[in-house]
Amino acid sequence: MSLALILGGLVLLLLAGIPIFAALGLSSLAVLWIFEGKIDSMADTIFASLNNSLLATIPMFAFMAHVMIKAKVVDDLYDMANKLVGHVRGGLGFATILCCTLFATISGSSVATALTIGSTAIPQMQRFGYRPRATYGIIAAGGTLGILIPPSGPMILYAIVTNASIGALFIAGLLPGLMMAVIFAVFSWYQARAQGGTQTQAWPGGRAVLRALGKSIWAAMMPPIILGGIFFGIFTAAEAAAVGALYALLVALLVYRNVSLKDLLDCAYQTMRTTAMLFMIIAGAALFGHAVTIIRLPAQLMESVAALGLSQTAFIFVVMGAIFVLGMFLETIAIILITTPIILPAMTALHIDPVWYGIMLMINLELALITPPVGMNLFVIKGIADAPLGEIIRGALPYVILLILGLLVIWAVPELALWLPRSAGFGQ
Amino acid sequence: MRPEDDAAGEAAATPPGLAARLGAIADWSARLGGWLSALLILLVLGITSLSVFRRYVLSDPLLGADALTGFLVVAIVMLGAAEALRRGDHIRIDILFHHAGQRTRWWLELISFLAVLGFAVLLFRTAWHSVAFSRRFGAYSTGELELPLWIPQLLLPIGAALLALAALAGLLRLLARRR
Repeated sequence: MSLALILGGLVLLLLAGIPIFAALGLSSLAVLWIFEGKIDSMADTIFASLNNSLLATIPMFAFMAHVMIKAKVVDDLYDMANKLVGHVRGGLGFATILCCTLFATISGSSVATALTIGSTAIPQMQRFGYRPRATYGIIAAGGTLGILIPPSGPMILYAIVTNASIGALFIAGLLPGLMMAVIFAVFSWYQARAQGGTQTQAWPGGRAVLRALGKSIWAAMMPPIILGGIFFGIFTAAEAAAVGALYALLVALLVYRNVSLKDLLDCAYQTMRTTAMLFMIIAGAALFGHAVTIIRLPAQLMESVAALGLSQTAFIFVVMGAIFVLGMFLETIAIILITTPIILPAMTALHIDPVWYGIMLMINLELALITPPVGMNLFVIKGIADAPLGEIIRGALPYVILLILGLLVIWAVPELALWLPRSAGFGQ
Repeated sequence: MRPEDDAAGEAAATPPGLAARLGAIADWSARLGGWLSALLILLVLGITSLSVFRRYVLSDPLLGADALTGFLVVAIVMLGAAEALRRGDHIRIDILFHHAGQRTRWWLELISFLAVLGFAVLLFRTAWHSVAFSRRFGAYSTGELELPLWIPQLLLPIGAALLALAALAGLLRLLARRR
């Protein structure tokens, strides 16, 4: 009854098109009112959820990405990838995935990755004979790497909810992220060759390639600074975000010299818009978490798992299946914040490593970004290319299958996610 | 809840008289809150960078930096929420909206603004109680800062009031569009 009330109410409000933060908040308040007769805890719950210095990591990474985009550092990345492999047949798709992978180490957001790389790469690929559908698929999939390859906004939120180490999750996402990037790149190359009709670019010459590599060095230095700092225990994730943002500022102001104070203020303003939107969902989700605890939903789930005798594997499959379905309708941040507090006690009882689960969750959320009817990357591509949504969905379909395969690989071989963080000394 | 950039639609939907004045005040206050929030993001960046510098270079950690950053996060969200609403940034599921006719869309927009307004009013009410409670009992924050708790808590009713104002302005514009 209580479960139907909170979930039914939430679904109704969401379907009515109410902003997610308000839908989460109001459905939770209804539950609090019915079961406790008061909603006095609303403000304190929201204050406690937002009063967390770790959350500051997200706007700092977002600011870093905005500065790098504004300074056009990212353009040099695409130019480098293009010059490096553009002369190989099917190489342009490869270059696009390579560029998405590098950009993912800057942005921390899938939508930003798809938007930034897509606006340059889609017209370029189509000019060289790629079928439109194939180009949409490449960008949709390449964009998803933004949340798996660190830094990643969703990973930070997941870490805060589960009390897992942000650094451990960042390092854990590296190998699976690179694995998915290689799978996407190889598939895009195979698809381009199989479909035919793609033209190659002329080999620009060794000197031009070296020049492009030199120009992109400032963007390429970002991963060693951020991830190296975390891996070797020099910085915490929050400190790495600040150092990354300062590095971006220095590169923009001293090397590229193409941003003004007004541009930087605009970067801060754009960061504020994303932060306020995202963190209001956190506020709503905090109320939701409070409400489901009042109605003992996590405890009931744990009891059901025990009563049914669900194994770790069965539990993971059930949860991943449910998240895949939710992902078709809900936005990634909302999925993390709604599902994680509910399943966390059961996860702990079943000895599921939160870092391993976190990486599987991120891959599942990548699926959410490219599965209809609500797939943010699909919408981004529609915005860039003004193409029919059906065509974009068909282009993304092979990558949905590849991501499901990737998810199964991480489930079957947890070491792919856990080896690096253990080597870095996390969890010891 | 469309972005303000949709200038033609907004112009056509400008409400008359008192409502127009309220809309202008709401827009101005949301913008002010948004820019303050943007500056606070830069402040957080500065504090964290200074903290890193002092810890690793001077071996003299900046006490209270974490606690202050936590309060600043609250400020960033609360001051920016209204501007995000004004710009149509808050994510929502719009499957129904996209498939609805003009009339149904209007109603969905109305429900949406009412929901945000309701949320903001309830937040204001409960947050105001929390502030009053903390002042009455002289509550202080834990950690190095030991700040009277009502000061950071005050950000919640301020943010809720800004959000309520922005939702009200949106609601009035919507009603004007109906006319």
